[in-house]
Amino acid sequence: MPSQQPLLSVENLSKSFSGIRAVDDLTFAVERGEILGLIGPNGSGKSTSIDCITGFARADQGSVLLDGKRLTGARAEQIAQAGLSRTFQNVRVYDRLTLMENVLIARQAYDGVPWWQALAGTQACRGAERRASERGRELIHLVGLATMSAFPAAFLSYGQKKLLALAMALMSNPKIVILDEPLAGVNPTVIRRIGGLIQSLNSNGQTFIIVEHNVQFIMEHCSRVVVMEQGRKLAEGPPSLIKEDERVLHAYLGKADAVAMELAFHGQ
Amino acid sequence: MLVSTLILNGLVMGAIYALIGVGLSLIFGVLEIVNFAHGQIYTLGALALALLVGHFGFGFLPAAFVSALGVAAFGYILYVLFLQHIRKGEFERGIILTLGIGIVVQNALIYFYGATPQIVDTEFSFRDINFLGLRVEMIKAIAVGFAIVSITALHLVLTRTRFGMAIRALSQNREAALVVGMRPEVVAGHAVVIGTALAGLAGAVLAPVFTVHPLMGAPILFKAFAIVIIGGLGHLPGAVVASLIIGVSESLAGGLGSASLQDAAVFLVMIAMLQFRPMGLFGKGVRI
Amino acid sequence: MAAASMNSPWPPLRRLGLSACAVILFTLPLWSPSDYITGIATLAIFFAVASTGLNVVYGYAGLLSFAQVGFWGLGAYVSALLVTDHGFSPWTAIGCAGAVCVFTSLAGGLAALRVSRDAFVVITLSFSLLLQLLARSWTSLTRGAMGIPGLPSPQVRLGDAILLDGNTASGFYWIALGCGALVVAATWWLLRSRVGRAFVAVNLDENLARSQGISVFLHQLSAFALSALIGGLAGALYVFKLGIVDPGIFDIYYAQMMLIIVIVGGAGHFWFVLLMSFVFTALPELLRLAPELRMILFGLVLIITIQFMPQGLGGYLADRRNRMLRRTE
Repeated sequence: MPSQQPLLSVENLSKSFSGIRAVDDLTFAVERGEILGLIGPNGSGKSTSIDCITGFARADQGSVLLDGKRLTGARAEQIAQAGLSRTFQNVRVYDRLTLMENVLIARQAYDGVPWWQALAGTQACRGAERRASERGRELIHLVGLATMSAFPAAFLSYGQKKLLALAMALMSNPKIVILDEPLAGVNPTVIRRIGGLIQSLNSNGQTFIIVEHNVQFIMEHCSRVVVMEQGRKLAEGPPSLIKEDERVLHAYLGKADAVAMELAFHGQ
Repeated sequence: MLVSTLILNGLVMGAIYALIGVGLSLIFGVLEIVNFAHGQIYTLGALALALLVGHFGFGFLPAAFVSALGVAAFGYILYVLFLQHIRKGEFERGIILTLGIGIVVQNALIYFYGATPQIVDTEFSFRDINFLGLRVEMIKAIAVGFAIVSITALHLVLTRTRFGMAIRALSQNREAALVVGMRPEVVAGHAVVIGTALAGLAGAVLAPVFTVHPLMGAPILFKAFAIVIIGGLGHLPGAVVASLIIGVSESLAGGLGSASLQDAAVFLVMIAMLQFRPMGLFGKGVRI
Repeated sequence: MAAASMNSPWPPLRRLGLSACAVILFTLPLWSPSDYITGIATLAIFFAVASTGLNVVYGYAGLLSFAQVGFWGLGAYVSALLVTDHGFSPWTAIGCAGAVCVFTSLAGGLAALRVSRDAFVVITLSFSLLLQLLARSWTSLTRGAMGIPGLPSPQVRLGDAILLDGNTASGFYWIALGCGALVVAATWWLLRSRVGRAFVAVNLDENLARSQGISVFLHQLSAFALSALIGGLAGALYVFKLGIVDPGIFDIYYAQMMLIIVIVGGAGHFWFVLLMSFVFTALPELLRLAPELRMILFGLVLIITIQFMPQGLGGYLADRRNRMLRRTE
């Protein structure tokens, strides 16, 4: 019997910084196989929510359940091991290491090989390393960086680093990949490539949460959208409904994003 | 020995430690550099005073003043040549750099000055004054006077002047200093000058209390580190309180226990502190 | 900030160089003009091993530790005491010394790593100073400043025949070389494994590593313990060269040497650090400088390196190679 509960459910999440409520009673759920978009004006609490969910910030209140397992209060590395993979707004890769080393690191905590086996170089460890290399080569190829795989990541352009970060996030076969502003500072060609990758991975069943400013991208690729404003959930629903939602338009009006939002909603 | 005498002696030493600790803490707060050359800077102050008093016949007070100024000038040169090139986040680089400077200064002093300890005689040596019925060496009382005056002055500068606001803002964040309208490099340079001047002054006023030699800075440096850790990194009032705590615990441990216990006191205080308040007396929380 | 690259520069050249070095090192006592030279080469081996320990914790895991000289001295005292007071053989004593160092580092690391990186530096420094103080003051155990004299020389036997006798300069050299090579090779193997890779990851970007399920704390702690083991073993064997251990084993000089070797060689650059151990041990002998002048020179080298080549020689060469690759790419 297929489980009825959502893959990820976030309930009543709250977080304050010195008296300011960055996230205020946020509740939403992510279903298996969907692409959830999380949008909102600057400072609406999107990134803080993600940090709380992935253990990089400690929520004051609320709970996070992944596949029925409570993640509330767990450390970032434990949450990652539970199957919640993320990228960062300002792209993070290991600059000095080669692309291949980058992706290998992204997987090694997941294959259950204890450290002493790694030291002894046992059969199990070598097998795991071989499988990781294969998967790594596959993903580097998938994001289109195959020719670079032996070079240090420092050689990559900003957009290429975003692609590498995506490959790293996928290395552990996570239940959910959270992309924190995957398009920020990236040129249109790479944006199209990232969109295509997300779609094709999603058609194979990969679940995504995408936090973005690029509303057009969210409307195009997401099956459902959560809109945040001042730490609260303002609206939730399929893109077609969100586009028409008065409150959402109102929230964006008077802000710097208003024009972009208008264009994204109605300009095409 | 009477406990009150021990405590008084401890406070005296604590006040002088505070000079060194506050300077170290100030430099750390503004530049995020743990200055491993601070002990040698203190030594420079002491040797300068010994030279001025012994060879050039200066009086103690002008000699202390000139020594502190000279050391501050040296500190400024260090800042221009080396410290200003260290960016925030290059924390280890700052340590290694200042450690290298310390090695060079210390060995140059041994080479040119000789490692034999010297005794500095001033017009105030071998005289005692009476403080609330307790006898205190005059030279120590003068040292405390210097410490109180200069730390109070620093406090006033930091809290009452625009320049002080800039320094405090800079130890919180860079942009804030720009808002106050001061260039971070200038403010940081001033912080180094003040910090090294305080260390030089400490060396100068302590020179007649202890013997003077090029290796005298190493044990003091460590105490200053302990003070900064205990007080909370970059927290100046914390450094003052921590200095007094260290001074008194050392004095009590030495008077009631043994000389070894006196040496160990600073470690014991630090271990206790790290156990119960890992970020120091006034620090904010443990890292996540 | 220290960092490491695991891609080796010029593999064929390196292999050739390594074999040449191995041959030179192995045959050194045979052509060495005097026991004095052999003794210096022996010292270089000790510095190479102890600095490799520092390289693990600083160069790879990114934690600047001043505890290395503390573990070096702790290992020295433990092995000396076990041999003189408890009748252990040198080899068992050295093994126990390594174990004690690991245990101490785990206990200390649990406390020190909870705080910030800045505090870690100061705490590791105080650890070394505290040990020195104990060595001087806990006279009932350590004999205080007089030290523990009359330590025997270790021997390597096969049955009744003595293969290597630590009493002779060349005998001790080969013993040190054998042990050193073993420790260095094991460390290299470990750093090449996924454990070493995680050390580097944690150093380069803590948050990224955490987001990939890698525990920063556990890896920092194990790197610290590994450095303690290496330093402890080196110190434990070193006392048998000295024949006596006293509080001077904690001398700041050893700490400065290890740091200079790692910084100039390049933190995180395994082979360059080994190379620098030999350079910085041999250099003062060649120059025949007064001790102060030698330290002034070393201090200047340290300042210049950190100012103009913060990644050390290894880092500088890796950078150049990368620039060349980039151009041809």
